[in-house]
Amino acid sequence: MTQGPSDADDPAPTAPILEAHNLHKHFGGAVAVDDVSLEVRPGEVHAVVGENGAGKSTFMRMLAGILVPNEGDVVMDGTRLEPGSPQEAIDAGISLVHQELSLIPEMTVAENIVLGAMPTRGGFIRRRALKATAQAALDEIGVGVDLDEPVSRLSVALRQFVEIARAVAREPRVLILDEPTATLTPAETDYLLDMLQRLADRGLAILYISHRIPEIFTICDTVSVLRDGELVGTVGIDDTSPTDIVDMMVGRELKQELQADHESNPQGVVLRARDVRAPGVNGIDLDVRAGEIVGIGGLVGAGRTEFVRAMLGADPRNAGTVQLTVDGETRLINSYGQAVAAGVGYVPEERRADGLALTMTVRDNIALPNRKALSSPLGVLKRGQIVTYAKDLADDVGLRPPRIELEAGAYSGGNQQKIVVAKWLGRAPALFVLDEPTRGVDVGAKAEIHRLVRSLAEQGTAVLVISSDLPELLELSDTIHVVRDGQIVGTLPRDVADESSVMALASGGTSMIGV
Amino acid sequence: MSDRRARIAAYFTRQYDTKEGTAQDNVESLFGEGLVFHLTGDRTMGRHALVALCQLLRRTRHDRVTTVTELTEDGDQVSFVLVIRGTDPATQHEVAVSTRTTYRFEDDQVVEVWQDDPAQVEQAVRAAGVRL
Amino acid sequence: MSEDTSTQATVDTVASDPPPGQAPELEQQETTALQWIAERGIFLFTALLIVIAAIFVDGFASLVNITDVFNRAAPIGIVAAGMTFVVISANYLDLSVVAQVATSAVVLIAVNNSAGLVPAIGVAIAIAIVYGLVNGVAVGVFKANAVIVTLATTFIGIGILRWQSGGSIYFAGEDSLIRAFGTAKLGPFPLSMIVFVGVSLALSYVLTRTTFGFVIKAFGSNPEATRLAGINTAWVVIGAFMLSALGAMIGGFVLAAFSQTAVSSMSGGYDFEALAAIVIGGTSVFGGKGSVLRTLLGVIFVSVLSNIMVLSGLGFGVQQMAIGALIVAAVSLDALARKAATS
Repeated sequence: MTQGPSDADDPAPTAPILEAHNLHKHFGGAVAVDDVSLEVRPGEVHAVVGENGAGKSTFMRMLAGILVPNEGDVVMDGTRLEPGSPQEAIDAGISLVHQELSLIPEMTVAENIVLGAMPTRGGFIRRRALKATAQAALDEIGVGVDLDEPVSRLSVALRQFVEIARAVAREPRVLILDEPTATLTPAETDYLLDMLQRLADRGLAILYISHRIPEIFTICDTVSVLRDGELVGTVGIDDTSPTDIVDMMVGRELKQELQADHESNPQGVVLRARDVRAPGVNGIDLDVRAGEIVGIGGLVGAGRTEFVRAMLGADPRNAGTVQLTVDGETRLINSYGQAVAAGVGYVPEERRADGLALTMTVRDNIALPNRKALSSPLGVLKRGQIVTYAKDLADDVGLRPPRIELEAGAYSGGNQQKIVVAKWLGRAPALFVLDEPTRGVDVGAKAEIHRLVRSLAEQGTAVLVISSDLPELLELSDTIHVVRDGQIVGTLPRDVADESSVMALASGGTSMIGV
Repeated sequence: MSDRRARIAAYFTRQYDTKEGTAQDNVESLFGEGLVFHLTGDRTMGRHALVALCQLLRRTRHDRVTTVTELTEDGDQVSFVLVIRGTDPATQHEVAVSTRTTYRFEDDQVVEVWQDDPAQVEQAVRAAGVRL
Repeated sequence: MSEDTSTQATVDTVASDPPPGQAPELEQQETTALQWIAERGIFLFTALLIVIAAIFVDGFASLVNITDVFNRAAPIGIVAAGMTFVVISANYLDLSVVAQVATSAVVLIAVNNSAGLVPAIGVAIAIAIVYGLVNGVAVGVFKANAVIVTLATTFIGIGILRWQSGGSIYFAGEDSLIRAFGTAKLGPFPLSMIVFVGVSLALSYVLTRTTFGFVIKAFGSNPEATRLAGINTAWVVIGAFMLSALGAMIGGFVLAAFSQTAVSSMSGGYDFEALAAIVIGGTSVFGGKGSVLRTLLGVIFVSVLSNIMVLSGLGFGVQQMAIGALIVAAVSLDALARKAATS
């Protein structure tokens, strides 16, 4: 449906410049990349996509000579490269822009750009030549930065561009970028994508690692999808669609799960909040019924998180009454402790900062909210019971690998979020509140978290979801309340809500705009 | 010169009313690569952001009809009033909304845009997930 | 229901089908040698040190010498065991143990001399509770910095003690129970050594086996996550300082019994010596990680090292240098291991 801008200049059948032949890499018994072959042609922007752990970075590092493949060859211009020699790869014209910035903050822009290829004469640095080389590289990518500025004073985006200038200064013929837009704003991303397009138009071959599908459809000509270390396929951008790519990334079965609907069967009111006020929250009423998923939408800063935290007592509340009705018993909630005791589970917005004790084991994190049920009346922990309890919950949420004795900090974002969810699942909360449940989480984990949320609602839990991710909100919620300026400005039932209506309410304007 | 009027009108019809072609192709048929779309204050957005916004607006269920009126040309600048009629998805009310828009052309492509209610556009861009 | 399980099954097969043996979503797969040493080094080093000392140092491997090492280590060891809770709760340390130990020792001997043992212990307990509450409330409720708060309570406590005692030295009565305790033995083991090991084991049990210890650890690892798990974190901090006060009180008793005298200046340096033992034992100064048994080992390690140096004729200055170097090594290891774990 969406087409790359370069589809006009159809990739001419030129010979590939860089070829990977059956690359295979394993670490101990763990296979990271399995029999992957692909080729890139001059002027082509070739995306390599996949979920976290799919083997993208390992693959790229083999191309750049950083890792030695166990099997297979890297061929540049028909010549096989010495495996595991970064210098030979650079000399052959392969330049890798790392995901982690590798600039030296105290050195100037110019020095950083020519680092590793310093022009010297008799051991002295030729400053004029140095600057000329650096300037040429910056001109090449069209970025204006003061050459004498220390890198430490540059914004993250400019550092990223300097990093690219450094790669370009080596006059590469193949440029490899590993998630270059991870730290950029959309405007900066636009700029970067334009820049890459220009470089490609001049005949540079670009390998672009990303998991951001829109970017790929903006600049790439070809997409290769990796899953579990294997190449699922390579397709031309005109022959595919974003949904097809997601299919390939996660596998078709999971895709169906992503689109599954849940049976909504709301019952009695569990949460009743009236006139909740707090800094940034100007009087919000909210009801959530058992078995119902209520979504809260709105722009960042609209007061959604502030509302939920004040409502639950996690932050001070200026006014308002909040009641929780569980098993026919209604209790007033005036402090966070009361909320938890009454049956609230809360997955906070910042999971690393607020949700997990990263230096504790998964087991202890999961047991924490439910420690009382897992100990004797005198407070002695029942350790065997805790292990079984944590194991069961880790399985329920699909933690992978399900090793509960590992520290929570050892897991990736998606798994960490599953641990936070598991913490509360064991208490069978009557009201489950999730703030940005899948932010920064990969596609597979996202689908599983959605599945969990839906199954909770089907079992009669009242669920409240806050999300900035509109498709997520629309997919999960039975009802969406839109918050703006600390108030609910509109309520949209599932059959009426769409992206536009939520957005219109959230932004305070009408979606009837023409641009 | 009246070619511009036809192109602008066709753009809005295809982009929103009939939803023909892709959002990106439509945008690229009218707007140049180095587009500067003025928002509030010093903020601007580029062509990629515009595409993202158009994609979001096109995903809505609506019955809108867009008309280009009061078009005037002054050198490389074209100014017109855009009238949108239809049901507002948020309120389900029948509305008619008008916005004055000015385009600056360069090499037959729009390279700069001003609108009289940039705040609304800006909020919508943010809602589309574009950070400004 | 059958439908439900079938969908779940498909999800599981898809998602739990990583390449064989691979842990695709783990950021950190194996513990590095560095982390291994940071985590288990103290056990190895203590054992090594003892073996080396037994072989090479004359006079080390005698029952008299070893019980003497324990006897001398007992007061600081008990203080350190209690203070471990403050360190694990990420509140750095309890400087006020200096005032608490001296107060406890002076009260025990002075009140015992004038009113008997039971009132003496009663007063000491009351004072310990006050210390625990004041430190705990200031840090836990008012969120004041623990170092500053306990520095202040040290000044206040030592000030009150000097004022009340006039700087006098109190001697335990000729036939008081305290004197008897100081010299009592159970078989070959001095009573103070048994109290030291007993208190350490009891506090270790509290830390590892009770919800209270569990929550202190969680709080030290991430206070906000602990609060959001529905835990009243003010009580957690108060509890940590209470246990520290308990350790300081018992440490004061043992010190008074050991030296048969008490004076306001007798416990100078206990704050940092206790912290040194805790840190060398491998409890993290960042909180959230550590154990009382590690502290016990840290105390033993430092004491054995000092003993070896004394037996080898090395001076106090060299001992201090060695302990300083050990602290740097322990803290650096901890920081490096953390860095390796999070990068």
